[in-house]
Amino acid sequence: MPPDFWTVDFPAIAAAFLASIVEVVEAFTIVLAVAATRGWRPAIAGTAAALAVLGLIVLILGPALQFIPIHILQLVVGILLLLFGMGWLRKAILRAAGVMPLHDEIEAFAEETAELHAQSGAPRTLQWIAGIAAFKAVLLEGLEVAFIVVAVGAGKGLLWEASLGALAAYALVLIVGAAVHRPLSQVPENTLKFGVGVMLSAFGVFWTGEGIGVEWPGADLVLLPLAALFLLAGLVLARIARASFERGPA
Amino acid sequence: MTIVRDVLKELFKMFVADFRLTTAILAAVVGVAALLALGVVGPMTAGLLLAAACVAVLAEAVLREARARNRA
Repeated sequence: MPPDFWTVDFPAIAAAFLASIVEVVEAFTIVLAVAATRGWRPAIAGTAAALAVLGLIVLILGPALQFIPIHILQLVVGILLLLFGMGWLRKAILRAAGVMPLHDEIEAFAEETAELHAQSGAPRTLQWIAGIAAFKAVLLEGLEVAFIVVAVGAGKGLLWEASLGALAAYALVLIVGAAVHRPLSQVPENTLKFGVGVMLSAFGVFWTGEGIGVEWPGADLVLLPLAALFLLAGLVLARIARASFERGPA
Repeated sequence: MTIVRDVLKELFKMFVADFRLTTAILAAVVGVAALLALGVVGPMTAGLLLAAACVAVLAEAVLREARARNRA
């Protein structure tokens, strides 16, 4: 086991795994709506095509990033992780505080099913439309996963490990989803989003710092206090935002 | 073409979900990098400053949104 496994490798793989769970659960709702409306064939074909495109993105982008000098790569990836991670964390805090509504899988399923039922045309055309709907859902939700895999993978050469973390999440959601055959509304999506937001923000600060020439005390170990700082800030901010929201307009 | 447009829209949304949050983060990074380059702060203080600035930016974004939705 590498010496920085618990401070770098594990959080990177866990971030890819947990972020994938969040995104795949959302994509699965649409895929299930497609399957329930037009059958499994377009649902599986659309999903497989989107996964192939996402795999290609990771396979091309990941190794290509190795040719960029490490300081520039850390700075660019760090800033992108900061923007993305803090965006997720902000949304998760607002949802945890009750300021923003939680994502409702049952509602998303009903909306997609109604939209697919409203389509008209020849059976073959309807199958195509359904397949494209599944393709788009998996591709759009998977873009965030692909970014996380490439970003956390490129910074420390963990592309395969992060990819495996994401693939494990895909497999888990698809197996559980196929078994229960309904939207996975019990998955604590916002808690996962909160956790991933914390991890990505910590990675973002760390790599951005490395990119601009910061000397972190304890090197990689500083990721733990950075994550703790964002976690604590997130929890406190959720309480303050809830109190402010419940008080009503001043 | 709709798919390509949706992909580009999704990519933009990934990093610019809240325009003020995005610009504030970039400003914080540029500010800390400038202080470090000018020798105003040391390499270790710059790290602490960057982390503190990011938390402050996050707090501002969350509380601003909570206030805005409160008024709506």
